Amino acid sequence: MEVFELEGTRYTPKVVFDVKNKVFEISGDSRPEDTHTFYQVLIDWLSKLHSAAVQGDFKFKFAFDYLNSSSSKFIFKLIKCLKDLESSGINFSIDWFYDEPDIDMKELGEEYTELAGMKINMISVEV
Amino acid sequence: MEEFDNQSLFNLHRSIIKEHMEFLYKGNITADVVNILLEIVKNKFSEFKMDYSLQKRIYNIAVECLENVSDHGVSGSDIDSIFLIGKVEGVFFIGTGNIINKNVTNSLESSLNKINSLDRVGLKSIYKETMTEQLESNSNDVGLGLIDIALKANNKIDYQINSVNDNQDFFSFQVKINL
Repeated sequence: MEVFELEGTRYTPKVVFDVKNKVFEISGDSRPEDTHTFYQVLIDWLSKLHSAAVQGDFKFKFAFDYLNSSSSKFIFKLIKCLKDLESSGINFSIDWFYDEPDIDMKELGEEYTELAGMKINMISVEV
Repeated sequence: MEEFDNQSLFNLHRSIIKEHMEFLYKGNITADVVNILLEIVKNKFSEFKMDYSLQKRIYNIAVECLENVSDHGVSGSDIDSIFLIGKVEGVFFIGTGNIINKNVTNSLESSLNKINSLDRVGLKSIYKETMTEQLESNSNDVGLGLIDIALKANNKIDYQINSVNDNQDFFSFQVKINL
């Protein structure tokens, strides 16, 4: 389970989970027709890391241009999954990118920090 | 059936202008149609020369409004849905209308009344509550989308329910965004 990759579309984000280089990313637009199925595949894949022979420090980059409300629920679930992986010695450093004027996207990242009890680095990008 | 003559066409055009509608769609709102309508909304932004953060907010609201109709409206109904956007004196508005089954009318009304009774702090708090409570539920719930609309619009949601037959209601929904 070295690399999991999905090309981004106009409605679904680009996904790269690179275990070998310990770099993970979800970016782009997220409003899948079936949000549950789309994100459950990602969450199931990440959950398998518990039993994989990997440990250490990993990077996770979230860089959404747009995220609908049902995606936001599943991103929360995914972040909770990242937190659970700490018990298996897998520690994620999470970066949350947002366009500088996009206050709503910034606030969503801050809410995840609060709700998941996990440090999330907020990184603003100039438009 | 009454014939649709040129006078009716003229009257329709006049009333669309009078109501400040910029775009009006009537038909089935399927996932594919949602994508087309969102492209039209985006094109209107450049026409209106809106700033970036406002564009993002309006786009977000349009997505949630359209998804509400495509996910929760009654499909295959012989009464089409409508979607409209408009602009008048510093206000942008997005409206939808669709058929719902009467068995969801009460819960929808009570969600909307609750949302309309809350201020920004209250809305933020139920957004978080709803997101965490719904963690185990896998449906694409209506609640979170409506709260999101109210938060991003920063205005009360205007809605109306009209009975169309014994089992179904027509649900009109409108949200205003100050420019």
